[in-house]
Amino acid sequence: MKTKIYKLSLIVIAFITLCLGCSKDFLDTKPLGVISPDQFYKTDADATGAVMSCYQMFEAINASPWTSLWMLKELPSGEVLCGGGKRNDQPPYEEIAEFRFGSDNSVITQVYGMAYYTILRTNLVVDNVKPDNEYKKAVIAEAKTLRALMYFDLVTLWGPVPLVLHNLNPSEYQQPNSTIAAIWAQIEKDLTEAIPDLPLKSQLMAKGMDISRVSKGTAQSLLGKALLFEKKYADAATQFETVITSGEYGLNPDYSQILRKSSEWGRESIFEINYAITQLNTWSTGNIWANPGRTTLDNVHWQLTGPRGDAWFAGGTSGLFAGWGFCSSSQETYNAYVAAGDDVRRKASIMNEAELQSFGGKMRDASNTLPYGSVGLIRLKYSTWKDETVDPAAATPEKNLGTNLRVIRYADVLLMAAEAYNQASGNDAKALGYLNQVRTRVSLPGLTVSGPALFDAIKKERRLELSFEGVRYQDILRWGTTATDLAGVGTKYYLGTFTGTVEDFVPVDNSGFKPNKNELFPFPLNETKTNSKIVQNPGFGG
Amino acid sequence: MKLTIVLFILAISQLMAVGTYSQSTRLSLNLKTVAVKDVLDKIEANSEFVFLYNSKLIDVDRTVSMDFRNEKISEILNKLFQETDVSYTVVDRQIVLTTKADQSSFSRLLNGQQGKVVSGKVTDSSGGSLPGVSVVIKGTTNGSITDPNGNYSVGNIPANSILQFSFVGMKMQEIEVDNKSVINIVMQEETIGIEEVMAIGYGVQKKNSVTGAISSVKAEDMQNTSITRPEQILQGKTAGVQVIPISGSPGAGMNVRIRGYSSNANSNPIFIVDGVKTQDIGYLDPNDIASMDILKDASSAAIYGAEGGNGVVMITTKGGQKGKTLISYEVQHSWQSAGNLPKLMDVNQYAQYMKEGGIINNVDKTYNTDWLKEIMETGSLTKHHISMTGGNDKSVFLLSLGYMTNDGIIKGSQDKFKRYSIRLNSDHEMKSWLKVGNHLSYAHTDRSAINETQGEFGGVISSALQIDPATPVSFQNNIPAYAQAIINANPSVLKDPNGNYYGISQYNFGEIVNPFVTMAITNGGIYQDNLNGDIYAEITPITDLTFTTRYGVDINYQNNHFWRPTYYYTAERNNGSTVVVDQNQMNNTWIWENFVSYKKSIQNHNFVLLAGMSAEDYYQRVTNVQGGPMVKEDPSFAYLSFLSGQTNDLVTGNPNYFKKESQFGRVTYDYMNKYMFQGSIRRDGASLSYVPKSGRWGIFPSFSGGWVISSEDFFNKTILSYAKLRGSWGQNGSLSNLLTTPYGYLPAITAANTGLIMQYPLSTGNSPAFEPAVAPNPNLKWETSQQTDIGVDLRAFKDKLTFTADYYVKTTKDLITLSNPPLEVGNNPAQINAGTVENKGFEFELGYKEKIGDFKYSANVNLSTLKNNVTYLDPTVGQINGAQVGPSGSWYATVFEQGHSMWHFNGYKTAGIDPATGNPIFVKKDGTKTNAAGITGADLQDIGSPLPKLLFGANINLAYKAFDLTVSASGMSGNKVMMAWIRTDRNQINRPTYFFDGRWTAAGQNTKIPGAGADSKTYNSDQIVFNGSYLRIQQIQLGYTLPTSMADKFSIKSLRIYVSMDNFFTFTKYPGMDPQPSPQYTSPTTTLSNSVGIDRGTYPIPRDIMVGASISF
Repeated sequence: MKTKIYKLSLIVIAFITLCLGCSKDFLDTKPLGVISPDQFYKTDADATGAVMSCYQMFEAINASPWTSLWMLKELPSGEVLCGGGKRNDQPPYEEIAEFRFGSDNSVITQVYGMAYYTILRTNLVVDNVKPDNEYKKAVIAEAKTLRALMYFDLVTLWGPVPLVLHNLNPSEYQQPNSTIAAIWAQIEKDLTEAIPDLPLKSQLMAKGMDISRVSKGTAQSLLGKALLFEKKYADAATQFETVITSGEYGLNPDYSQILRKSSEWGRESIFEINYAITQLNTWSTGNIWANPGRTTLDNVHWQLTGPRGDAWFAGGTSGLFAGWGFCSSSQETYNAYVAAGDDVRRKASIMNEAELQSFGGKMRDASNTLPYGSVGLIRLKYSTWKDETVDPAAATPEKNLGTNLRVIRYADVLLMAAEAYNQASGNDAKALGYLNQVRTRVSLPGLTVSGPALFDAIKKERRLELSFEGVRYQDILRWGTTATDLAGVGTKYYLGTFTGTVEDFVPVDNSGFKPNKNELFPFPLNETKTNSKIVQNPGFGG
Repeated sequence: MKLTIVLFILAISQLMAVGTYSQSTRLSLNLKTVAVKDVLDKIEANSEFVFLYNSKLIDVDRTVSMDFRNEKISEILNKLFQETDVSYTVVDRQIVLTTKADQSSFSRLLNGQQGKVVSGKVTDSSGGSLPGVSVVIKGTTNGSITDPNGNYSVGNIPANSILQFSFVGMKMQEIEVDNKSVINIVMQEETIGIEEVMAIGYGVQKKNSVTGAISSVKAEDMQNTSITRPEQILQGKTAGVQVIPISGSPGAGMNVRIRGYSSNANSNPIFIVDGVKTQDIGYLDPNDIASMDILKDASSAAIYGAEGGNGVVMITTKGGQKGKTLISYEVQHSWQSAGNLPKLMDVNQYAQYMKEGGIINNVDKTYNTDWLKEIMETGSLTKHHISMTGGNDKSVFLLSLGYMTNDGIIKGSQDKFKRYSIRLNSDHEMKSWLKVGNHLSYAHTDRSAINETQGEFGGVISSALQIDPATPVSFQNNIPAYAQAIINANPSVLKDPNGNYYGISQYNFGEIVNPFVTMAITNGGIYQDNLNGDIYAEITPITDLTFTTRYGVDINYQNNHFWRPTYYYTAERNNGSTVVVDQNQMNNTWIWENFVSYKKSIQNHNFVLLAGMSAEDYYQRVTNVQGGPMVKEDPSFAYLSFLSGQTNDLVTGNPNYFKKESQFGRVTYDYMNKYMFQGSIRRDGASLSYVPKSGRWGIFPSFSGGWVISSEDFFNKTILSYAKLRGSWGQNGSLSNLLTTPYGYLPAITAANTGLIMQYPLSTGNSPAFEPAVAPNPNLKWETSQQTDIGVDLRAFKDKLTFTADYYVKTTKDLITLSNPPLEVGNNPAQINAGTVENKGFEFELGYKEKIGDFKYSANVNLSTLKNNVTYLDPTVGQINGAQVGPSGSWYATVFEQGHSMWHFNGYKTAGIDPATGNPIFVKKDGTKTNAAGITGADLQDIGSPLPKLLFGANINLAYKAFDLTVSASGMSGNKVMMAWIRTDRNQINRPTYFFDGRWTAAGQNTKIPGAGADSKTYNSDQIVFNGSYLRIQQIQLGYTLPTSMADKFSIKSLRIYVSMDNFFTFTKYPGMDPQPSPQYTSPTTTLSNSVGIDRGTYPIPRDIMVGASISF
């Protein structure tokens, strides 16, 4: 009996020892669905996957819920009214539209943060992909172009941001401000280096890339634009001239279609950010509220900025469905078209109430009021087009608006070229030619002015041609015409109700563009708290 | 003949005794050359036997040697007294030693009835007769034993005698005989807890020898309450424990905080059920629990090392009992309702407020809806529980069945919880050296809930608070034009069961939805199957050495099934296409533990040594499947086989693995039960899913000591009967905060994001995007807490008064948090060890128990103080943003920063209302006063803490004859509550009349309440932060127990019926729903931990009126 027990004890002890012994790799679990960084960036497919994350960030930065770079550029431009469901619907957007924002504004914070998410992803491609074949060289060039594009928005909107070109180690987290000149120099360097390695747009598919990826023309146009912003007009003209003479691009004859889904990556397109309707999102899929735009392929901001439904908007046969009422056209934008006699582009850009009614639609509720924050003008560019989303039977239409965002198109290049020639050498003939190409397309008479009058004409033309496309705010800042172009912008909001025939409005305290302050956005509050080396932009405190 | 009578009486007594202790108890003795007296003492010390003898007659100084292993008491006594004239009589736990000579006088007594005779009846405190009570004339061995009816008779009593009455478990009483011929005695139970045993992890310890800070809650505290989850009982019962329901809705979980909030994220304690760690104890029927021991200090918890940092709750379920089979049945029914509903503005007040604020000029006053009243109904809660126990010398078992159903206080039956549970616990003595057994529990739960998870963005209750009273529940006859237009344009506007359209608000929009619409579109629920338990073997190869091996499992399968119907309410709240969703989760944990304990006594030095190991493996599989549209929009088609297309299909799923292994040891020592010492150490290793290899091992030591001053010779016991000083120090860890992001330190390239793949849509199709998952942190390690505790345990007035006090300082270091790198880093932040939190406080527990005739009462009060401070936070983190309130990204209403209480409210400070404008006067961070335009986000500051400064609880029990009354209360003070459903971006919402009464209306008025049109920053300020102190009367219960004599007639053992009011009264100044709001809403940044005290308008804790009965056979 006793021996049995001792034997048993031995077995038990052996058991414990065994368990301790066998546990050497018991704790060595492996993560799933990830690749170790030293195993990545090797193949062409790795390079594609890595550069796709750069594009994906451009998609996200304009389509995160309540965070959009496009909105950040549109709201203070005077082209749109903030609007929404009611006052205080989205306070951060209202603050931007009314120049009341501080460094704690969440949209400014998130766009700034996502810009550097984009930059890290481009830096990783540039630093880790080996340029050992033509495809990988093109991928590196793509990443450099996208990095330049991101720094372009940072330097024009925030000014002297930190210039980060590598993945930072914790010891390098405290980055000081760079200088505006250094950032422009880097943009030029990246684009100049990228151009030789990039295929032409027409060669993209053949080179195993995609029509929607960065082409030589993209980099050249962006370089031209950067040089124009730097007022290096002659160099800018050279770049634009290369794009124009490449024969790769042309104007879409029908202006009303240029931002529609059917015209995506057409002849006029130089660079677009892609969205898709193929995800078939519903309210219960796509993680729209949980995840900042990383896995949804649609752009929820097109829904956000559609004409307000509820008791107000009904589309009739206009092809539009109801949105949530942000970013409707301002009266000033509408008036600019009317003043210029520009009927084609006006009708393609803005629908008025009478036109909506002619489609059997309506804009007013039973008590004859307009939606809050609107003057009854529907923005048609990037609108809530039924044919640019899914069939309601398949999924939720408002969750699947997939219209691509046009970053740069040929008409923009023509107008920038005109501006560069006019400003650089006074080659007004060439400038006038390009300007009139744009005017002719929309059945406007050619102009014959020159010198400063031509410059004024080009500025006006840019406003009408590129309305709602997210370029005007940066144009106004670089031209320094804020005193006239932004006068009164964001100083009141409309209620939709009427006293007599005049729509009621509420003036906003402390609103409007403030010189020597609003030329740049502030660095986010969180940034000034966590980065001791950053110096805040003027007018925004420490 | 006479002896026969004695034996007959004894035999009867034996039958009547609870269990057959003497038959079942086995003792091991190994004593060399000791006095018989010492042998008897030793037996008393190691068993429940008590010897009664006259040392003048029995030679107890005779030396003997004894060596027995697992022998019955009879064997031992036979050996001990062989060849002497001593004979023994065992009556349950009492052993009377007599001499042969004495025996004859004993029988003479019974026979002769010579001299003075005293007789009487002995009863227990409830009036039941007590058989087998020994009645002895003091100083002699003459006496008698009570018969089955508790009657006795003692004759031959000399003058001036004293009768001693004694019975195990009862206090001995001495009565002077004087002239009395009848002496009736009521025996009193021994004072509470003297030999109470506590679970301490891998073993038990007598309460008297415990040196750490451990509080216990016993089964009695859990019976007869309306609680549905075991955690609930901890509230108010012991000092230093706070229970925060995640929601008041049926079946919702609980957060438990022991000694404050020690971590920035998860501060939940671990639950050890019958020795096995369990994720969630919601499956446990509280009726199955024998005791809950809360290990509060580090030295007690340190044996659970790595995970004991937030305290340990040891739960012991009831086991079987030898002998008699006992069947108990417990039934309860409660009617539930909401108490403390806030008073909201009616339509007239609302109209006036909106007009004054310039928000809405003319509110249509056709309707005046009291939304809170509309959504509420009387809920019901029914519980049944049957348990059966029994066993013989070798095996004992408990089998129990429980059923609970709870339909909550919101209309409809979407707020419902059902639990079916089965438990089988058994223990078998296979051999003298081998004991095996099991605890097995199976539970099925079925829970559905109203929409609460969206917080202030469209929850049923938050919307009922927010939506204007001008909107009707349904449009009865006239549909207003604005609503008609919406109905015309949208065919899927919903109708109520009577065919009327649900009311659509013309003033509130967006996520604020008619709560009946939200209820109508919510369906489905979560089914869960839980299998929990363990099998164990205890091997005793040599005396005092026990080896235990135990394999435990915690298996949880759950299915969440629901579907989304098409509906239209507003542009932001509608659904155009049906979707069916099945979310399946399988959570599987096994824990294997092996440990050896060795008990040794050398003279008066007593040691217990423990060493062991533990390995744990957690495996989770998640499959989420959804599809749509449905072929027909009908609940019976809401399954994935009945879809008309695949357009809404989405499949995701991934496994998770976590593993741990540990070695541990403990030394417990005492000298004469007077000086005690305990030391333990545990080494824990975690799998790479938590921490990198370099930091995966943690070593957690602890020490504690105690000194029973009252055992010293110099101690005067006249008032204080017991006094013990305790002190402890120890370290614990915590890994639970790493679970949210497995491998959150590892450099890795991924294409996944929140369960989906990131892709970029190229013209040729989507192309996956690969990027770094996180900024890596190779230095990540365990979170460690260190705690020092000093305490004192006192008993006074013959142990009627008990008092325990503790002071502790608990410091949690290397808190795990996401870093907050400058945005230029451009990467998801890594998890880092970034901060230190300190909790310190006093804890007091005071109890008093008394009996005056038929009146018994006891009272317990407890009080604890809490001081919480973030003493360090890595400067690179600056502050950690916590819960968001209102529009996305615009306001972090709680932050974690150095020098403040953790997760304090972060808002604008105000200094009264500006009489000129009706806006608050705002105070900038530098202290200067300004108007709303003058402050920015940089002026957000600490505007109060949701953490209580004081927690208190009280329990009073009164009993008179068959009636008993229990009153218990708990509460807290010093905590603040934020009324977060007042949204800055929706100023047309309704509000409590608090904001209407006494508000600013015209220039020049001095008021405390801002005007109706106050700036939106007002609602990001201390104007919505309130004193959240409260006192809740948890229970007032009146019970009636059928007297034993009556019970006997009905052939039942006991019957108690009761009526009760649970959580019925709450005293608070908070004008919102519940001063202890439930942190239901979560998002990636908003967690249950950083949302404490934020009232987003969630399910209130219901109050109950309950009737119940417990009966046992």
